[in-house]
Amino acid sequence: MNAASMYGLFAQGVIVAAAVCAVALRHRGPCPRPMRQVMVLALSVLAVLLVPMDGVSIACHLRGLWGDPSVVTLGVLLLHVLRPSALPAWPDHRLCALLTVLVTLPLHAPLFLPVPMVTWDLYTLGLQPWVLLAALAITAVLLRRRAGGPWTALVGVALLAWAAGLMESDNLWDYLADPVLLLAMAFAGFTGIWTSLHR
Amino acid sequence: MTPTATRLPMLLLVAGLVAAALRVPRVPEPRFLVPPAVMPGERPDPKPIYRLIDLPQPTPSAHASCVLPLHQGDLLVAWFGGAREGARDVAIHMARLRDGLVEETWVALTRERLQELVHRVIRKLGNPVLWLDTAGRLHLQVVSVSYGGWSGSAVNHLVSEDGGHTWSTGRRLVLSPFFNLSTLVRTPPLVMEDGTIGFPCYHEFVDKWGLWVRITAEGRVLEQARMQRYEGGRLQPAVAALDPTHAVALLRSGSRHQRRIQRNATDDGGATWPQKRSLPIANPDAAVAMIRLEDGSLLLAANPLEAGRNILQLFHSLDAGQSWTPLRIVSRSDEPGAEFSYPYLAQDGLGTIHLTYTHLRKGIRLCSFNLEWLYLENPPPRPLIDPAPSGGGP
Repeated sequence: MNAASMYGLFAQGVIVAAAVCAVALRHRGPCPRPMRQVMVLALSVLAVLLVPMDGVSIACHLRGLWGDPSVVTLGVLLLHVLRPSALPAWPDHRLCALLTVLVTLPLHAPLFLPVPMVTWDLYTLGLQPWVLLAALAITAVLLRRRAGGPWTALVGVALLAWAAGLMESDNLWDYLADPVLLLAMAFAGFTGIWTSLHR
Repeated sequence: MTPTATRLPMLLLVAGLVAAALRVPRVPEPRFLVPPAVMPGERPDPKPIYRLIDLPQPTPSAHASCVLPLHQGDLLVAWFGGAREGARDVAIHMARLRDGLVEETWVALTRERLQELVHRVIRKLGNPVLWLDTAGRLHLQVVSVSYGGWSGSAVNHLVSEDGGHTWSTGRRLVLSPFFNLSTLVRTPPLVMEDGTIGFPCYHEFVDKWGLWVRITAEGRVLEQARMQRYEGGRLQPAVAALDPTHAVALLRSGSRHQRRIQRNATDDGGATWPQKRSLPIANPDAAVAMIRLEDGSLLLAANPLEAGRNILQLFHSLDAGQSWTPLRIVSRSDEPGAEFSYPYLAQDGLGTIHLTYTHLRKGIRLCSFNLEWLYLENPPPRPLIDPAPSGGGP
């Protein structure tokens, strides 16, 4: 089994653990019993890896269903399970909305719009990602006063993971974001704008 | 928060940027590897050759074959077969032929084995495509579905060191940002001058279009480019290189309104595919096959009908696929439901052309012939047009 498969199967355990924490444990604020969180993670990972279903593990089913989450998403989920107090808040809702307009929509538009209307393909920028790396560096410089938070660290870890070839994908976009994370960011951005407009 | 804790995220980001910058692949300009042309008559024994073989039918249903010429005139043929298309017992079957005789057939890949290789559930197997890298290793790209229909497909890249009996490594190619949904292969790849592989694939979730992907022999994706479509969905691009920078692609029509084969072309080694137009050849939403023959001309196999797949015909082009001359009809039947579909073309090192196709959805038929047989009734004008200077023209 290669590193990419190990990452993908482990990530399914983290997703299940995060779901268990969100639904069953409902922790708020600093977790009073960190060991319980570790146990939830360990049991979830073991369960999805070892419990068979139709000849393969549950992790293989989940992987077939939604694939592997991005490194940033996995980091958020791990924080959610292990250190909820360190869970990063969404950036400013205007930044979320801006990223949605600049990234999420152009990234997925070629998939859902009739092709003659769309001549770009932002996704290809992640294969030889000089432009993407330059954009990240410029953003880090521009936001350096606010760049000490967990989002910066998670993006840094995602870049290191891409350099190590940790996931199946060769595309940097897949390390930085996935549809669930982008959808959550869009939701945070536009609900924030809606709330501020109707305050 | 301590200063160290504040700086740690920024340090991680800088380290990540540096590491990522070091890992960005240095990709040479894409150039197709085009062998020098061999004109008809240059072969020592230019007699017409024609041979028809029905491959063994180990399953009730068979479809989507591909053929790969090996050294010394041997052939490998792969297809998917099972109770019916999409059934859970569908497996990839392979046959090896020598001197026109089936030497061996075997089940090359099952759903269960692919699950073990790619570590995810596989519900059904689809189109296989075989190719050899420059080191002579056999590669299989095969479509699989974990959940949903064919539009939920993905492409798996496997390598065999023993001629396709076992597959040692498996890798899922990630080609779409949306859960990697809906990428399929059907047509043969092209070798590039730098040893990388360019392979045509297609997308069919919500809309249908062709995709050109360049990978290393290890399966690392280096580049991908969408093929612009004319109107309506277009899929399953068959690509033939004309010279190191020009290539032409013919695409199946997935449109209900414009049932014509679409032609796309590139003049930059596949980096972009902007030129497009519809050809006056009908297409009933069925796969087409095209190769560049060793004399520099192009050969097309297609079902030239707006409905039905009961005629499979060869077409010939001397002007980079801009105009096509109908040649022989390979198979024809007026029986209801008759189907001769999913052609796949290859030419071996001895000049023999091999065409495999689905025969009545029950088996795979191999038709082998040479240029002398092909031109017997329709001799091409001489001299052949060198497609290089005008190859990429719209």
